[in-house]
Amino acid sequence: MGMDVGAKKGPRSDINITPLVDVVLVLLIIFMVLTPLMEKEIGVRVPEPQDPTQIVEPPPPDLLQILFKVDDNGVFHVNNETLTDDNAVDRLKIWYRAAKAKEATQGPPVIFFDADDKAKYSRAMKGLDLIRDSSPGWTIGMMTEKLASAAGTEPTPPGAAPAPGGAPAAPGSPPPANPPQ
Amino acid sequence: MAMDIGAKSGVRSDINITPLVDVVLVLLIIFMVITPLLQRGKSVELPKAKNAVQNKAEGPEPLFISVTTEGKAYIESDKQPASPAQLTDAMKSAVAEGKRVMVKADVNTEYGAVRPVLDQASKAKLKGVQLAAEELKGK
Repeated sequence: MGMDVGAKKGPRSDINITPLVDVVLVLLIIFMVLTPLMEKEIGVRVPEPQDPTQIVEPPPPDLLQILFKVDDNGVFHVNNETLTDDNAVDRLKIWYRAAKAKEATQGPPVIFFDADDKAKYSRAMKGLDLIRDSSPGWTIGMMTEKLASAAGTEPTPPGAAPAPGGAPAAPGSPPPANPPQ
Repeated sequence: MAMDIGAKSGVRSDINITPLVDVVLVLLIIFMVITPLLQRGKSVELPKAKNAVQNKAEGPEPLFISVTTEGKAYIESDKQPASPAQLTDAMKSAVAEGKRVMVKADVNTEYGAVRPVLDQASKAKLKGVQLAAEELKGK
């Protein structure tokens, strides 16, 4: 009575492509995930070369210059203040408000960025990221020349202003440790 | 006596996945071809940054300067590291063509390797450069 019907038990002539599909789908997903992760960027300014014949006006006496430094151990400093990773954003926000308050006389807020040559680039980028974190309004001016060794305590970067009229060797003008508001 | 044996002419219960495989394979090949094309300059491990943005500005493709772990600077995908003079020349022509300059520095390099590139950019009368980073997901 009973009879085996169908080719189910016989040899299948199809290639089993299920593992192929599995592998290909996984590869596809990997590439789809990786593609949008690529290159984003942080824009920074570099100093404009100075024309030696150009007359540079003396900076106003209350000039606020903000210098962000990364030392060789990767520790962040703003002017003479040492920051920790935790309070950096909050402190930078306060500096930003101080700079913003002077926008009428000194132009948009500029922060000078310098890192020690021995500092890890990853720390420098972390610093730039924190600056952007504190406010997207900062103009970040990269200092391309090394500061004089004595300038470690000098908050004003000589001749490294990214905008015209940059103040060369402005007198030290450290703002109060707690700028207003 | 005669009897239809086998499911060949019967209804197949399997889904026909051949078109699916075709489409997926084509997509895979497209991504495999496009991915290396999207990557300009040398292959470096980029630092991660939360506030890095995708530049949507119109205009010509930027000039890529890559700084590798050893601290050597390369113009685009050149085999040989570039000398400071070559960097300046390349950036000057980028300025003339209205290109931006993208600096791709390896996360493991020291800042001292990046500074000369920025210095050359300044000498080439560039207003600014873009530092390449990878987006850090999550807050």
